[in-house]
Amino acid sequence: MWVYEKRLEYPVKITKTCAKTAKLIISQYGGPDGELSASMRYLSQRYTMPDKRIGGLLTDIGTEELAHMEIICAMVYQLTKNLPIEEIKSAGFDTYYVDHTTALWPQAAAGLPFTAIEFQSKGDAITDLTENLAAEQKARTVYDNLLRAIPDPEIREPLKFLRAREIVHFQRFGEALEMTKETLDSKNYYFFNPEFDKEFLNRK
Amino acid sequence: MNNSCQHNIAIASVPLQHTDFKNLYGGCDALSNGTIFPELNKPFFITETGPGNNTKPSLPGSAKLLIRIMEQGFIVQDLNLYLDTHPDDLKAIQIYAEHLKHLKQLKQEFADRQYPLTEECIAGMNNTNGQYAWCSGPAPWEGVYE
Repeated sequence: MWVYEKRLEYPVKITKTCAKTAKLIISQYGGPDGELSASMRYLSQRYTMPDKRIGGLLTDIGTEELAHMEIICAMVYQLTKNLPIEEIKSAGFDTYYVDHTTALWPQAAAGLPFTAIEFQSKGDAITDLTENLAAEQKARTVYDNLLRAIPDPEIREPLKFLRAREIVHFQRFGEALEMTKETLDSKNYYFFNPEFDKEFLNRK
Repeated sequence: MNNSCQHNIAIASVPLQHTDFKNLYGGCDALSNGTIFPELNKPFFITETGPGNNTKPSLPGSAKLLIRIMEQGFIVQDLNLYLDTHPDDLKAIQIYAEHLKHLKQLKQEFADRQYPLTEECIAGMNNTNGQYAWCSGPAPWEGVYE
């Protein structure tokens, strides 16, 4: 189960609305490499992870991604709060507004709805941890792209924080992959699937 | 963990982080850099150079108790992930325990002075004025740091 803490992981206080920026940032809510996708990926993969320590890491990082989703949503919310219809139209936010008004709905910047097709839970520890390494890098690239496009310091600081977390998570998933490799035969890591062919695991 | 597997071909390798905990960032720097570990702080050139980067804002309401809780909570969070992959690191366990204790004190202080951040804080509150304390305080997404 989860316990809610009534605060953000990183403070968000945006004093100037900007629907155009909200349209970009929403991608890290419901886009292909967004925080919702990240959270669901790790929280789905953990159940069958053969190493209990890595199941724990996936739980902790998956939970932190939920907090990141909340930061992104807070940013989109503050960027679009009390927007007049003229600004909604001139910023091109009207195509979102017509379906969701100014509520939060997970979608990519180009309008694609959130989908589980964007992430994997493959049931093979090496495959899933390698996916997670790539996922953290993809999310970092999105934050790089956002930082290049957005100069406002009030928006940049939380984005910088979120970008930095991708690098830390990459390191932890890399260490988890090394932990997994230690339980396998280094001559052939691919002789069996450690999440399925468990009878091989104790033979080493 | 031995490093022998790091030189095998046809699989990804990431070296284990080794740290002596001597130069850990303090709360404010840790939160603004997104890690307590200086060796994991790898910023993007766009935010390090060019115009506007000297006008870096301080965190909103940086003197306030809630921000101190965020800083302390973040130190605990980053140490937690470190310990997930370094569960036998006694120094890290010790630092983690100290920060966790401090965090709990700050949260209780905040509950007494402002509002409870978790249900657990309600149990330790001196005075709830006969009201349901969980409803008090602004929603976290409203950006209220006064």
